[in-house]
Amino acid sequence: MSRWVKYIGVLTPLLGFLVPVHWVNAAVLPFAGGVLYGLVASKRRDLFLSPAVVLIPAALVFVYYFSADYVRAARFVAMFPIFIILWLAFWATFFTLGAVAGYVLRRTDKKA
Amino acid sequence: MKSVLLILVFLFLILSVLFIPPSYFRFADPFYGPLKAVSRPPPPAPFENYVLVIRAGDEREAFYKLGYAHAYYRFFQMDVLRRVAEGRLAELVGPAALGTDVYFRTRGLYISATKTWEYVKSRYPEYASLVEEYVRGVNDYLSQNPPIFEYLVLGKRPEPWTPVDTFAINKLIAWSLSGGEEDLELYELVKAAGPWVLELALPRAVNTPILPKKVTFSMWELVGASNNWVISPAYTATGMPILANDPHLSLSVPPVWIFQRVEAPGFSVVGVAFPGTPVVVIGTNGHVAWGFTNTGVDVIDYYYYVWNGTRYFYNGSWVEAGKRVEVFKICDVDNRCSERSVEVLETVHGPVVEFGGRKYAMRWLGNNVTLEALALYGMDKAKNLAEFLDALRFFVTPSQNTVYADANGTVAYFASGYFPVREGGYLPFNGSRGEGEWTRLVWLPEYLNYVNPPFLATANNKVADSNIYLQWRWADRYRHDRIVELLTLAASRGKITADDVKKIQLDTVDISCRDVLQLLDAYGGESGRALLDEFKKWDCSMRQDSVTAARYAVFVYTLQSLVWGRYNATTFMPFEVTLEAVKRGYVNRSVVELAAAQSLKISSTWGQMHVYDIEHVLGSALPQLNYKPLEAPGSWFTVNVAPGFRVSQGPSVRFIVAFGEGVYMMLPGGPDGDPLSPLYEALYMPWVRGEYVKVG
Repeated sequence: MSRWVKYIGVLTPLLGFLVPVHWVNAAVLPFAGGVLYGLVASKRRDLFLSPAVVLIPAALVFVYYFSADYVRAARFVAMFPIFIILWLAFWATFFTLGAVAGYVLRRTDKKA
Repeated sequence: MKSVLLILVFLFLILSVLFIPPSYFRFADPFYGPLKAVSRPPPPAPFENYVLVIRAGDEREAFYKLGYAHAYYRFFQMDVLRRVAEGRLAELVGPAALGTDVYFRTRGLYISATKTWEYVKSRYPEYASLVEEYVRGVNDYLSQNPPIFEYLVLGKRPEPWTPVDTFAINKLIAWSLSGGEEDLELYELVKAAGPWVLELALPRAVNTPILPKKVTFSMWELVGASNNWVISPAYTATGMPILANDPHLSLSVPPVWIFQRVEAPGFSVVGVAFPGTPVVVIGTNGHVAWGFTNTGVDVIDYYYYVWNGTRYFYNGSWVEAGKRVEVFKICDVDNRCSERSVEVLETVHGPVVEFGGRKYAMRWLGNNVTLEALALYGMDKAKNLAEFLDALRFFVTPSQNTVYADANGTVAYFASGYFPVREGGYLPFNGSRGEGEWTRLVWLPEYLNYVNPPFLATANNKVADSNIYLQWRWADRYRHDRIVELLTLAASRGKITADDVKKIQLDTVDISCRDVLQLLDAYGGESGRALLDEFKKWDCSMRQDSVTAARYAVFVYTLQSLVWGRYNATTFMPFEVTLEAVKRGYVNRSVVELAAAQSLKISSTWGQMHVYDIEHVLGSALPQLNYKPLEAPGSWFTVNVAPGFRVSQGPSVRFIVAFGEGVYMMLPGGPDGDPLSPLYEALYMPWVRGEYVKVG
């Protein structure tokens, strides 16, 4: 069960595909995904890995765009790396924050 | 400890909501931010050999498809153009554009565009219905909510297109090419320097007229930086005429033109069009070919009055000025918008603008209903000279040096457009005294024409010596004279081919050096003699690898600055006038030696100092959108023109129609305005290298 929650958490940022609201896609969904991920994280190591874990949904986004139009996607990456860096930085930051929050909430809940 | 951690996390979240600008969330959104631009729908009409090809069953379908394709490839550019014309750019790109908005909205281009559209609808419903088809094509594309990169960056949505937008772009082009806007600057210069400026500038005696004979305009008849040339069949290898045109306009990303071929029954034409307008401006339909350079004849005047509040004295009485309140919307990158209102006064002559703290009313021929679009539509369909001339009657402004050639072997020249006859026109008029009233309009082709010249070239130089003032800022004669020189040379070697014409378009010899040699010889002093020795060994070619070319350009630039800078001249004075001012001793001749000394300090090559600076509207924020700054050949006065040191003006298209041989073109950039398209900068390098694409 917890493994599936973790997967859902990791893939939650992809729900942004359905939501045309920038702050939701850039921050809220990765944060929410991070919370789910953190809630079921069993070890602290999972938390340290969370910035890397968010690269999984990011990679899926890349796969989508490159399969849609390889040439245009490659040009975008070459011409505007700043937007890619910003996106990954936002996702990594908010996902990790969510993961920390989820982890802490779970521990606090267990103690209570 | 854990609670502290939790608090820190939430604190960070709150701070990020408060302090991260909303635009950053947009930039970082992989689904609805800039990255979405990758998933553009497939093209409606792909480019064939860099030409947008529209095939249609009839004209209405052709116009619809053109609208759709223009929007697909160039919508952001179209939007910027209409917003500039209508004074609404700050709403899209922010406060930096407010000055431009106030400038254009005050001048009322959008008002005359609206009037023109209303007139076209009522008088030419067939053409109006074609424009409506074009607009429907644009809006059908927009209705799909396409992911256009620039809007995704700016966080805006494209607004629907209207027919008035199309006419507003026509007005913008007309305004930018209409001569006479410098009356106020000239007035200030004459006040600072003295009347000798007019003595030299008005006759422009050393300039070469396009037409060989003096033209006399009848005074009482009542009627409502480019190159081009034509070569008659007698001088060409094919025995058919050749027409060449390279209009010099601002170089931009994407290029100002889109090259298109439209094929429909009764309507088949190839050439360049402005995105946002459906008709081919410079082109050929197989029967006829035509090209334009700007004549720059003066069709703008300024009037000052005695004012009493918002009332002005005119025709012996006080008249209340009309008023309109213009509201400007300014939106920043985070889409926070504000508004600013400006009250614009209108007199009988036109909208009131301020210059040097004084109010002037501006009268511009183009602020009337004008039908250039219909003229171009007629040219697109003309089959012979008579039909072409019928179309030319609709062309009001900006007056163009129109070269014409047809498959029957006829070549011709007409200065197109209308000209308002009045006493003077180069300085502001006292409107209160009734000075400078336009007494009538002259149809220029009636006076300024030449049918079947052996060959004829135009390069914005003087159209003709005439009995009335036409304008004073004719381009220096050097480009024109060089073209004629090269055509004469080619003709003397044998029959002229399209390849000869290509070489002429790419020529970078600056023959102003001949005048400069004389100047240095006469007034150069010691530094001038050293420079003269160097220039004498030089072929006057403004090549990128030449240090002498760099020194030459610096000499010309410094001389101009020294002569006119002391009077704070804000308008570009022709170099011929500068040379005359020095020769006649109106300015201290020591400026020649000073300029020579300055020039001798240069040790870099011309290419190191002289680069193309071709920018996208958003290029200052996203420099990746600009073209690479490559070394540029040429100079202010070369046929392959490249003025200044950061070159942002030049041949906006190179176009050659050699009947019986082929149609050739080259654009200074890619045909597709989408930065993610592999065609985005496709033709830029070939344009720099001087290559051509055969398109017919």
